[in-house]
Amino acid sequence: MNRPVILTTPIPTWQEMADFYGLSKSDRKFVDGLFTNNGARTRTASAKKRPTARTSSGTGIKASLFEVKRSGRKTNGRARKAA
Amino acid sequence: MRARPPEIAFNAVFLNVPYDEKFRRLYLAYISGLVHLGLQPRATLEISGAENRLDKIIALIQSCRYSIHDLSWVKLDGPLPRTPRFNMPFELGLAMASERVDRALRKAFVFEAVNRRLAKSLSDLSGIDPHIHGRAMEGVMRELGNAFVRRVSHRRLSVPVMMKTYRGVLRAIPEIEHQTGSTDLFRARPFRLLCIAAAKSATDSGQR
Repeated sequence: MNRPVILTTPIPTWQEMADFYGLSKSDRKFVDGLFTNNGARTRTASAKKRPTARTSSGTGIKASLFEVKRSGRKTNGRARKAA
Repeated sequence: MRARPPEIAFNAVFLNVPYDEKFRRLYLAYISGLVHLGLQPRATLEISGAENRLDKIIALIQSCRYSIHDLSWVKLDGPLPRTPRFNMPFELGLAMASERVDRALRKAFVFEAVNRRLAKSLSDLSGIDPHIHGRAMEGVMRELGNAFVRRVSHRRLSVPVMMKTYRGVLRAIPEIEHQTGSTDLFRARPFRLLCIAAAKSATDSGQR
């Protein structure tokens, strides 16, 4: 029969876990920074570098998105008429 | 002369699972679930070098109070000559022998994916009911909760809350891969970072 084990030892903190696993100073620093930047590092490098354009309303939007939209309009509108 | 057995770490769990990319999700589920319960997973992938490997494996098993043996990987591998993996049942045998020889306070749990298959694949274990996870992360969490009971709030031990820790670990993977310079999570350093990321994930989401 499978009897469950009743755990009575205290739950270790992540710092105690780091001590248990003998984590290096740099890895400890790395773990300390995990989950604190709202996933900023998971964004691609190009996305981070992408500049934002100012609009008349003062809200920033991604320049690349803006360009895509504008060039789309050009192709569908003026550019097609010129052709 | 017989070497003295190593000191037992009372929160340590020897995790005996296949090291295969196809097993990655369940491997992460085991790590997340065990850490969520306040346990410290250990695995043979922490052992470096081939010298005295067997002695190191035995010492690692003896240093853990609990062990989990996933015997769901019952198939032939891809590269020729196609062979089954015997490491998991072998390490289960070592753990069972340690449990009996030392008479120490140790406990081994067997996990399987398919009900009643263990009776066919390892009939020597008749009388031991395996924990059936059905190859699902939620199944692993559920069965870990059936194997280990902690006197804390029921909410903490609920599968959805355990899955939150798992998702936190998933979020940390790109950063761990970046930090270790490898996409292989079945290595010593990524394994340790995954364990501690799981601890931080459980703490940060206010589950402790």
